Amino acid sequence: MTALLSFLSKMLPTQTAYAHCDLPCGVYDPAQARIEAESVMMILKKYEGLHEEYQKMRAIMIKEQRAELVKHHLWILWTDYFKPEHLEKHPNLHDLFWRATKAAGKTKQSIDPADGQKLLDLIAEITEVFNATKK
Amino acid sequence: MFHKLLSTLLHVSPIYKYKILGNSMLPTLKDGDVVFINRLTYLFRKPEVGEIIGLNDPRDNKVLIKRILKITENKYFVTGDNKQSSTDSRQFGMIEKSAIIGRVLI
Repeated sequence: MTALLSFLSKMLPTQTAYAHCDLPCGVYDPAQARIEAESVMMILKKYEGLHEEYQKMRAIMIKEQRAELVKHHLWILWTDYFKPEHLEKHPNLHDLFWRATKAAGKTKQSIDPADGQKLLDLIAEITEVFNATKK
Repeated sequence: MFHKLLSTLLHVSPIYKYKILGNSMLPTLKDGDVVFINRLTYLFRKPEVGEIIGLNDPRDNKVLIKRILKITENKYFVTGDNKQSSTDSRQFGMIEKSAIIGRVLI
């Protein structure tokens, strides 16, 4: 049987079988990630001006949560919205998402607004690719 | 000539070869996996609950890969293993035996 399968796997043409879901259940938009990243950026800009310890603690806590949401929204876009055909047209897509989610992680560690700006710039690049797929 | 040979081979072959498109059979089968469907299995016995089968979608005849969840009066209720993301008998109803192409070999 294994020999037969091996022979047929070389000889037979490959057809397509669908294992899909055709419910239009997902609405996707990089704006979700951008809004959370803007909150992170706002905190990074204001952090230096905070004097009370409780304010700093709260700012760090919110920054942590918002940065995690950025990662979440980017992962959803990456894994659920983008398809192999998008990757063919935008070969840097995987690298772009990898760098963006890394940048979101970096904003958790950092209090430097430059890291927040880097994250926003990468999300802007993703948005450009996203918009291109809608044309 | 070559295409004619392939076409003939496809028609007489007891096995069909398919590439999976979609995620409804996760975690058992993932998008891009290649599977074989044995067209002869159900000539000798009836399909059983739990088996993964190839079938023709009753709505448009596309080939689907699903698992038999329930058999009632010679009709088959099929679902994807990934029930949160699958179009199956929950939408298009139970299928007839005639819609079944064969058993998926994995």
